[in-house]
Amino acid sequence: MGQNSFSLLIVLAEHYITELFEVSLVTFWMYKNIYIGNSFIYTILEGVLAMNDQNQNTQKIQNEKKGIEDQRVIYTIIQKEKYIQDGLNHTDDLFIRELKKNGKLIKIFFLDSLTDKTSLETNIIKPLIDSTLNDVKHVITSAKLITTTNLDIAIEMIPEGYCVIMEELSEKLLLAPFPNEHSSRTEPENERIIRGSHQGFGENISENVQFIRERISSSKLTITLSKIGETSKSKYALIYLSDITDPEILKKIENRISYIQTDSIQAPGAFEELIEDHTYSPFPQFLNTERVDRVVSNLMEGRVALVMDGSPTALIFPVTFFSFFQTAEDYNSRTTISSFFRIIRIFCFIITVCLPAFYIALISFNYEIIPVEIVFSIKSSLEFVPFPPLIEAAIMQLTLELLREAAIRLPNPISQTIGIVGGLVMGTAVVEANFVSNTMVIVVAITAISSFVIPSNELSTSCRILGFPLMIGAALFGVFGIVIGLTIILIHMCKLKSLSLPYLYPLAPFDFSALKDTLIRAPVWLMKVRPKDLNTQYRWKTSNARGWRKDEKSD
Amino acid sequence: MVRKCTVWVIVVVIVFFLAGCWDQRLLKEGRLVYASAFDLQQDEKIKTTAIVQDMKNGIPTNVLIQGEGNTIRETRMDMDNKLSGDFDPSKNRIFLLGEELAQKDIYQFLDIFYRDPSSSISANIVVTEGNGEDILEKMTQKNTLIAEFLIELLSSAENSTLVPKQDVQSIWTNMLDPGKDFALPLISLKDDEVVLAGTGLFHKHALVGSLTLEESTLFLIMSNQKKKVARFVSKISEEKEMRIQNYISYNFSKVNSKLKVLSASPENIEVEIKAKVDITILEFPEDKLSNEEKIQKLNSLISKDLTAKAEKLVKKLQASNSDLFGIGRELIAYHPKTWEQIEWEEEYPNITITPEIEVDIVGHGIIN
Repeated sequence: MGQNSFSLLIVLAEHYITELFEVSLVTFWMYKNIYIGNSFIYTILEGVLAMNDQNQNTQKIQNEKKGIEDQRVIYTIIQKEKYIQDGLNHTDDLFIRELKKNGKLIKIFFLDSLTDKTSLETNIIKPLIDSTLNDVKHVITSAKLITTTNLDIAIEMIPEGYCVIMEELSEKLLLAPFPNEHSSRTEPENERIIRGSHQGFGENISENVQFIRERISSSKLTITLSKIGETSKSKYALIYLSDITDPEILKKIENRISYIQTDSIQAPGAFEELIEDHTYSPFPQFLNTERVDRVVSNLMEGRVALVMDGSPTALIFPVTFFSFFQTAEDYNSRTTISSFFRIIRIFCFIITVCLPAFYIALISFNYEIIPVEIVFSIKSSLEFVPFPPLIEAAIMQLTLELLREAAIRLPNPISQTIGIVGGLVMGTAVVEANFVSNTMVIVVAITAISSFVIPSNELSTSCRILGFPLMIGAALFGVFGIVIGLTIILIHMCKLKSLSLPYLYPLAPFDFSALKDTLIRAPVWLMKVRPKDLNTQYRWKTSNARGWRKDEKSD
Repeated sequence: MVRKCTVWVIVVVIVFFLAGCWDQRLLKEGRLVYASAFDLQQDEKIKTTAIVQDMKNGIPTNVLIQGEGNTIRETRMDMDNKLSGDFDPSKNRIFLLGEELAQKDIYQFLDIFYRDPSSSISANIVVTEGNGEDILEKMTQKNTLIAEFLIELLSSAENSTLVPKQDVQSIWTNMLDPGKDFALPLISLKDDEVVLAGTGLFHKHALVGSLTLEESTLFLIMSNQKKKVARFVSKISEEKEMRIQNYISYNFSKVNSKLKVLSASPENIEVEIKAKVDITILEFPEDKLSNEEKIQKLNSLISKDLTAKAEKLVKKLQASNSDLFGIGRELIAYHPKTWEQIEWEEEYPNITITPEIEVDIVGHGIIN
């Protein structure tokens, strides 16, 4: 007891000293850089705060370790088991195989998703059962074997594909790696990228968990496996990082899922509909992706992923509107280029929603704002079109949706034919027959292309559909109608929540620092903290990664 | 619940049918007017001549249409009756005001353009010698359709500082300003040819005189309105053998002109307009421009010539009572007491305005 309070005192003192040191450091920095301007100070402050955050975190871990080392001796195998389970946050893919050998209890810990069970059986379990040797170490036929007494090392190694063999009445832990073989690489067809990982999810849940585990080898990565559906008993897993994700979010998800009483759920889409906040909203409130790296980076932000057996799509929640404009490639290419494409994507979103409506408003209400150089050519192309602009636009937009819908289901060679028939033959014939004007074809083509620029398929479809009410508004009231329509959409988006978190987050509520990863993609070293909205347990992301610049200043 | 839904459905459906697109103006139904001219008839009725542009197989064609009436709107109604589709002046690019009409109060005729939100107030506005309709009736001019010809003629003239850049919107403020008058480009028909004749001077709302192109350029230089280029020719000697040797042509490259009120007592108003201009020589066969003395001599010769011309210009402006330099505005702003005491209309022709132009040759092309 006395020792405990003493160590507590030391820890406190240490904490205050570091705090004090940091404060003086900050003042020194501020004093030194005051002339550079506010923004620089902010960055410094932000960095120091982030460092502080990190320090506290590592300190916490160290403290925990210290306490354990002190009391390690009194652990029994049951306590050790509990300790490992606690260390891995009772993740559901941790399996414990118990067996008795010469009257001694032996426990083998391994992660179901990561470990190759066949080799575990032939190399460890079978020899252990068959052999009569007393020393476990000599029985195991694994090439690599680590011996340790530290439980924390064991906890760290398990997520890397090691299995831990624990013996009753022995301090020693044996660690042997049995990582699962990779299944073949498949790139998701709907989310291709040029540079970066080409790994997509498979349809087996443990395989998918393995993909994630391979990328985040942390003991904090927690997997909760459950079954849903009275009859179908479909397996699904909630994946999150227990030391980042806000427990409130998790509680909310679990609570919402607990209300699902259904006969069967086939796909994450159905899940989405059952637990999302606004079912009738045109905007997707959860992110669907088949990319492992996208899931992983979202997990690292403090979000929760749901994968389901029999579906390569992972569901990520909660998300903001701008999550749909981020791609995995953004973080892999240069910041200027990624920022440029971010801006293009958001611009394309606006084009997709507004352009047909704007064109209708122009040619049927306010053509005085069309530049005089093109007004006559637009007018001449309109001259023989029998329909009002709204019908004209609707015909073309619907034709486009028709082509898209037809092309999805057809096998590849035939869908090319559709492209030619639809795009080339119909496009020109429709204009030549004066059903639709030339300019309208251009407008619809630009709209279609911009809608395909949006990385998320759901959002791009809802954008095109959102265009229709705006078109009607434009046909009835001109530019005024568009303004009304856009206002309604904006109000709706401001009201929208994804798992009770604001959908339009860095804009409403406004958070300047979070804009670094929304409208543009700032350099990674500038994104020092996680966004505020997810309320993560700690916000630190990177410290002063470019500190080396100070060392090389002499050049 | 069901009732609420039905009410909503009915409301939505009714909105569609009731809205009925009453504000709709379909582009394909409009007949776009490209240029129009307003003239006053003998009996003070207005005659509007409009050029309607169409595309025929991708080639633009012009149609001339005329209407008569007591107001501009009435003439439009008259023209609409002679035209398929809706007569639509919202893309009108140029307005021509006939001489007789311009000499009356032009504000009365322009009212409709300021009142209608769809009217094109960024259109050019010019005055014509004689009737505007005569110019538009030419239909084509030098292989170009008349409306486009006029617009291009004007924009190139504006760029070379021949006429002031004015549109329907910009003259509005000048018309309502008691301390400043404005000038509009003047177009005339000479030997069956449409030419830019100079600048029409306005006082308040009415045409009161005109400037030649040379005077117009000088005025623009003196009021700091130089555009891309401003070319000018001065006579610098009398005795040379060949006529061309007596002249020098140059381009104003930098202009800095200042208007200064020297004395602002109500009895004696004295104003000085001092312009410092840098010029580059465009044409001077005599050359020897590397000689410093020669340059100084040329500087003073050109300065003298320009100052003399400026004096003439000022006299002309005062005679026609057109306060283009905005001296009245200067008085309102800085000498309000004087302004209150005087009757500017009567005072302006009698005040002393001394122009002075100081020339500095800074370039002479690529030969030495």
